[in-house]
Amino acid sequence: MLRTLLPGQTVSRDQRSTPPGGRLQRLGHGALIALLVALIPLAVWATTFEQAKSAIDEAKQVREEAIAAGVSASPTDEMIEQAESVLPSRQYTRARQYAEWARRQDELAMELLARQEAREAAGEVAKAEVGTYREPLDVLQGLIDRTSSDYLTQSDQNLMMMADSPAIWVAMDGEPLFHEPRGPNNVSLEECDFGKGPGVLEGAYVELPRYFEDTGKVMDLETRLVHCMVTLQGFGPDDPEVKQRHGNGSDHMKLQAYIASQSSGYAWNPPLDHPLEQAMRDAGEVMFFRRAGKADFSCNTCHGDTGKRIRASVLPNKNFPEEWSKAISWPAFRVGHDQVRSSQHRVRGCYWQMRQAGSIAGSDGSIALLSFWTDAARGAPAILPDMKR
Amino acid sequence: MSKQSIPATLLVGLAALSLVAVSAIADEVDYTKMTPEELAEYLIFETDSFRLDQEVQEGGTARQRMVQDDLQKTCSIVGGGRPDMETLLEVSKQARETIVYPEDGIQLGDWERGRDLAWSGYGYRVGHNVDDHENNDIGGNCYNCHQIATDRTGGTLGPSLVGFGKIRGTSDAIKKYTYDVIYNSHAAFPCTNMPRFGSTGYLDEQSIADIMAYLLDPESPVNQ
Repeated sequence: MLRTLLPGQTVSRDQRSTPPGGRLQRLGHGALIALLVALIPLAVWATTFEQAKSAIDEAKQVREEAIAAGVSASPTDEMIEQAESVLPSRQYTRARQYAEWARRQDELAMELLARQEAREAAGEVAKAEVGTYREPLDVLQGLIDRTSSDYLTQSDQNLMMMADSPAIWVAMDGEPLFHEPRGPNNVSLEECDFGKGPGVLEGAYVELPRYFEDTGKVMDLETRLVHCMVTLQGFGPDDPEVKQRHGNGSDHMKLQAYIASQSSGYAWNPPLDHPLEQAMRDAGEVMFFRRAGKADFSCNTCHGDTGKRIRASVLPNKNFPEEWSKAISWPAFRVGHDQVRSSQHRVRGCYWQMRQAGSIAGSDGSIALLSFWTDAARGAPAILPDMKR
Repeated sequence: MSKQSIPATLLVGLAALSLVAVSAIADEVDYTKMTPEELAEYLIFETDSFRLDQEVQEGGTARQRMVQDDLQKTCSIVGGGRPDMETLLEVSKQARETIVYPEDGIQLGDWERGRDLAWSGYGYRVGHNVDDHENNDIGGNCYNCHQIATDRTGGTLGPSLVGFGKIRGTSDAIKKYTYDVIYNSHAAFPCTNMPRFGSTGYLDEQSIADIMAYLLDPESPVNQ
């Protein structure tokens, strides 16, 4: 950095250390030292006219690039003007600062615009892909690519293991169980309507819970499956096929994982056309925010913010569909449990942690909550089956 | 067949009825005629959605756990956020009134036991896996939401408490403040997410004293 003497004219550090002899003689020794001491700090940050001018030119060039990129309203024109206006009064440092602010402002605006365009493009791709199957790992990677979320990326190990997730094997075990005639009535579940017609599974799960004419109720996957096993196949409610809801070896986890995996990559899209669907969703929302129990917790205590941790686990935020989509992507293999788990298992676990009363699977209360939580992920693609900590 | 609306008084009335009587009525109820709040209450208490009749550790049944008290009601805002300032000041005032101090003054207990309690999530869980308080002490769950010491990873839902006593010292004023926040944090932070460990009887006097020692004792790892 050099101290400016006149506009466009500078003196270098070398010149200063060997000043013209005649001038030196006229100055007293002390005055020289004072001058040098004064010059040292100035020399550190002082700006030349050239530097100020080139900063302004750079800012103008970036301004043009920004305009070309489509950055609209921006205060940078004004900032560049200000930079130029202080040049005649030799405020070069200030001029350079104004110019650099202007340049950074435009660079940031261009970066934000590029990011927004990338997000919009990803959104369009996602919308175009609603209705096409994608592998769970590809769905998750797509979400990670288009957003930034500590929740989605918290476990490298899980990402690496997803291609070999035990949940995929459990889902494969569900395929024959679904298609073979079973139960006292020797009927296959191909007769069961999950909302898109008997036996139609592609994209059915992402549109649950939904209202079913035949029962007059809003039902989630587990409840609908129980309904069909009992009414179509003739199982009793206490038969192990119906009653055993948890664990890799249960018919329920195999069937739920198989049915849900047919919707991997589809956008969550639970219907709200029927008044009962809307009523259940709205009541579920109230339940989500309802503080109660021994510790005053609600679902929102843990799921209303992004990037918060409970212990070492990053929590998903229900206001952030890309994050929330993974949160509600059940069935999923829970590494810590070494088991595939269901949505109802997750709800039960949360009420247990909240020190509230135990939630009962298939109840209207649990389905109302599932209606709200599925609606909160609307538009984001489902990861099925997923793998979680 | 359907009622035009279910007034709150009727809901309270329903809550008092036996399950048998209610299940007979349940088919008559039209969910779409209720407000979301009314339907949520109805679903929680009248539709076999929760194990309300299960006994709970503090005595009584899980039903009372689901009934909101005034503070829980006031601090539950659908969509998130907090009530207005006037309400918050009232919450804070009422919270202060719940705080009861030990007869022999606020004491610091055993920080080692306090550490065990701060890092324990045991206690008061019911449903499918009931915590037996005979087997384990009731923990304070502090670590789930707070980073407390640097030797283990805590949560970030609440503020970091690393160096709590080192920063603040152990004056009577700090001891009272710490006691108040543990006992009923709404006194200082109305509608906070933090449980009311004293005024709900979650932790006993000794446990609060021990956890306070863990936070404030210069020997505690919190203050190293």
